[in-house]
Amino acid sequence: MVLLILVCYVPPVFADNLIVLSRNLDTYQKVARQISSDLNSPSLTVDLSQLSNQRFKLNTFKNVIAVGSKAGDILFNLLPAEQDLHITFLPKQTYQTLLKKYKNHQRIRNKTVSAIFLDQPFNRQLRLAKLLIPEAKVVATALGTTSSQLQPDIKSAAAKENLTLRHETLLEADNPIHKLQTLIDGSDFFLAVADKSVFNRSTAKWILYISFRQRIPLIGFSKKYVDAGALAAVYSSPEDIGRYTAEIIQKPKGKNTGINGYYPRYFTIALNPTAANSLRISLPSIDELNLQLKEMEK
Amino acid sequence: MKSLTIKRTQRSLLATLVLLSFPVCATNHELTDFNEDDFFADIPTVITATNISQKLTEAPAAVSIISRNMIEASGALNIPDLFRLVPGMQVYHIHSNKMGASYHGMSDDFPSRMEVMINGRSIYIPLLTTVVWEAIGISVDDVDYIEVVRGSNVPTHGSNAFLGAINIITKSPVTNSGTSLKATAGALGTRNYTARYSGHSEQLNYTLSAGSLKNDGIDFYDDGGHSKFVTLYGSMTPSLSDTINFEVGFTEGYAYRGDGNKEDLIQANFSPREHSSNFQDIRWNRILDNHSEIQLRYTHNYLHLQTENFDAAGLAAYESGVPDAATAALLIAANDGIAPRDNERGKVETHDIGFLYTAEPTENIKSVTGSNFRYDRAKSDVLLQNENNSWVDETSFQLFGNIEYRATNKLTLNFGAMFEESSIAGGATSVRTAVNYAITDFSTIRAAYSNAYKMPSLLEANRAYSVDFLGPVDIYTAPYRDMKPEQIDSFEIGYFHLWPKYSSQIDLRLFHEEITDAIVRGKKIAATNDPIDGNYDISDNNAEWTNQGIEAQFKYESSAPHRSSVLFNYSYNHTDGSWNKGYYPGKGFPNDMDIRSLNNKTPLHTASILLSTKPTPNSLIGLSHYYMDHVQWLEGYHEHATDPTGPTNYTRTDLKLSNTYALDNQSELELSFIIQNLFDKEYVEFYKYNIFDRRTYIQMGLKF
Repeated sequence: MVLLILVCYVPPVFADNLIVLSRNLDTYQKVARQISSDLNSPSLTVDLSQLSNQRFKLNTFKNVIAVGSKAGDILFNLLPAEQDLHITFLPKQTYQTLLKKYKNHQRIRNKTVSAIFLDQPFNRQLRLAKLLIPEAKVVATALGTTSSQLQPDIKSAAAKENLTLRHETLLEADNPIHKLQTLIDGSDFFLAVADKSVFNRSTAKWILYISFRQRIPLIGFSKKYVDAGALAAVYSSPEDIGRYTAEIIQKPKGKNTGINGYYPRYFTIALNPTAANSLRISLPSIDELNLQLKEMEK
Repeated sequence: MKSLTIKRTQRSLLATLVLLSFPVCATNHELTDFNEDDFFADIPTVITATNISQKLTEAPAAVSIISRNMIEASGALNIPDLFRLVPGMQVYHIHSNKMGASYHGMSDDFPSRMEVMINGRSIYIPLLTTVVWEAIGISVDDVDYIEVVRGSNVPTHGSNAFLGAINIITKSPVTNSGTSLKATAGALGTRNYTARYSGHSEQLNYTLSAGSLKNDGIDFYDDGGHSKFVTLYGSMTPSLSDTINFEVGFTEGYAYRGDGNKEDLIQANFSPREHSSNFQDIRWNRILDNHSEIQLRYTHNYLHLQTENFDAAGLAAYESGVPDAATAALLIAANDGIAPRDNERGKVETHDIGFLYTAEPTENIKSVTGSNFRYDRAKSDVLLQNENNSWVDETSFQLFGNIEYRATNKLTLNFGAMFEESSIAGGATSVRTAVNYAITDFSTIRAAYSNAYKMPSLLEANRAYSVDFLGPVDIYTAPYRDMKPEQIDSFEIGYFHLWPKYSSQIDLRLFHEEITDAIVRGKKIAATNDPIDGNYDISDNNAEWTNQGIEAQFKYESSAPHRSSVLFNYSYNHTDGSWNKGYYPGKGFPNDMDIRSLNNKTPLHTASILLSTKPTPNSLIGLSHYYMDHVQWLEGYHEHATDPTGPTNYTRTDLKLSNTYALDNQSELELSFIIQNLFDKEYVEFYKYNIFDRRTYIQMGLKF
């Protein structure tokens, strides 16, 4: 009997917020730490593998936050549909796939899901490019099978910045050098768009080589791209995403709150002075660029 | 017993590394295969674009990069000259057209303890146990940048990387286009011409490079040389995941060899050594998935070296023991016409097949595992003499693994091991472990330990040469198969600091290296079967020494408009060791064994500085200054000199002035003026009469 009581006993959890990490890795932990520190009430952080072992009830938490795609996917079903689920730190496209997957789910009808994306709005990236290369008129980009769905978004963002978009979709059977040479030739800068890692790995080397040879500035999508030789990138760090996630959670839920998700408000800029030297581009300071981009977004 | 335990432990470690390298994560149901990981995945670093490697702070060894900008500012006319810009390296002209490059000294005219590669392809020649620089098939203009690993790197590059490794990366056909022509004329009657064309078709990017490098040598010896080469480098990307690179090349020419310690020209005996070589290299890379990649590689190298034989009159004049030309003619006939004026001759061929697997099994682990199978064969009537002058061969197999584990944001651990087995010396396992700790975002401290082995070379194990003195046979050198691999125990502490705001960095390395069972040729052995002098030479594990000291490199590069740069290198290396030259009865040595100190075989101080600036967008001024302390190279000048402190130390200043003129939108003309040893402070390079004086060159380059 005592054993039964012990087994059935659910200990009280003294936390208002449950943060569930897709994987127990440093990048996810950084997001969680920032959310915990910015929220006004106590938080409990677990990863997916620990979630099944925890003896607590999900509906006791005020806020449930999924960090990463996998946690979002699992909690979408696991959490009662009437309880709010905040999914953060995932690409916009992955979130759209998630919405399609659960299109008949009660949570969507209840509008009890929101998302903070990891990727940047294309306008922000293109504005950064224009600040660095004001005379630019033509932007080129190479898309993979996943990112090709973003082509209309990129095109309309480019049009807003008075830029003409040249693009190519690269498939596995394509010769990347041949396609990229033709694409990059005649453009004023190249915008790298994130796709699956295997695509990013396969194309990055050639994009870096060819843009270097043709002296075309390259705008990357991560710090690693800048380290590898891109001129600049604007991206949101795990801390940037965590900070904005906490802000969204604490914002009163208004009538117009939808399930469409938000691009991250906070961002970080990385510049590569060596690449700028090769391209004969004089770089403004990161603070200056930050300020100008924020002004433009007001 | 202890050694056996260590070897077992090392083999277990290697097996663990190989197993750990394969992905361990099995994914279950995934929402989509595009997720947040894709934003954070590694983008391969391309040094061509950044000019500095971003991974220096995480490397398990000290790595120096010689960038294209440094190459252009240095005014170097040959590739080995560039290694003067690396702390701890020494470069010397053995003759006007024979270069030596060694790390931490202790070298003769065949430096053998560094692996040298072009685009990862080994150019080490097993017939001579060194690199034949004049037959490598590229010129300074073909080089994009050079990576030099300072310190033992056997777990990555095999036993030739005993003290370090050099990888010369040539300009990629993908990053270059158009034609460039260059002509250089000046001192020593230099007439160098090089041409490059890079083009691309739908399927192929390619560069065709050719050159003719010629000079007459120094006046004293007229030891000129001429090297002609053609190389084709192609790159294909048949699909998004596949890349095929291939290189084929051919070289031929000659370079004079002799004894630069002899003032008498007959005794100096300079004569041309002809070379012809060809190579083929193909490598296929395939990206398997988000986290792994494979490479398959095949390389074939062939080199044929020919030297003249003495005629009867020549032999009689050269050999004091030969009374006249008639006797010389009899001697030559008794030796089947083999009377070499120089012993660098023979044929050598290598086939190398390699497999490489790189992976990131988890977010914190990067790994490389691979294997190589190599077949070498050589024949020489002077170096590898045998009954039918037949081929002597060697097979070797390598299995290796290296793992980088990011334990925390600040702590990176590297483990590496290589098992190497050769048909000459059996198996040996080399290991390295390194800990890198990031003190701040811009400074890292590194501690590394390596225990590594260098296999005896084909030449060292099989060297044989005898002369028939019209009946009695004098054995000069004989094969000796009981050698062990050379061993190195190396410990280092490194410190790397970046000042991104000032575009500068400093790299410090404290090192302690213990080399035991080192193989040095020329150990004298008493021989009853040699009636002429009762002894012969072998190569044996007859030397050991320790190196300890510090190396420093400082780099600064300013941004536009002047793009000024400063590079400073310094090395202090204290060597302590001994060398058993073998059995010399009656010479007064204890037990008749000549044991010599090796303490003066390494320069205590080596330093270099390179300053460059672009006063206008089209002009370049490069000023370099080199210093090397006294050194007594094995086989070099002091070997036969009585003066223990001759002028082998030197300070040399080089100046390069260059201006570029735009001819139209597509083409430009570059004129350069290079003065080496600006202040004409003459010094000895390796041999006593090989004097390096002021040398002036004019260079004209055309790009279109």
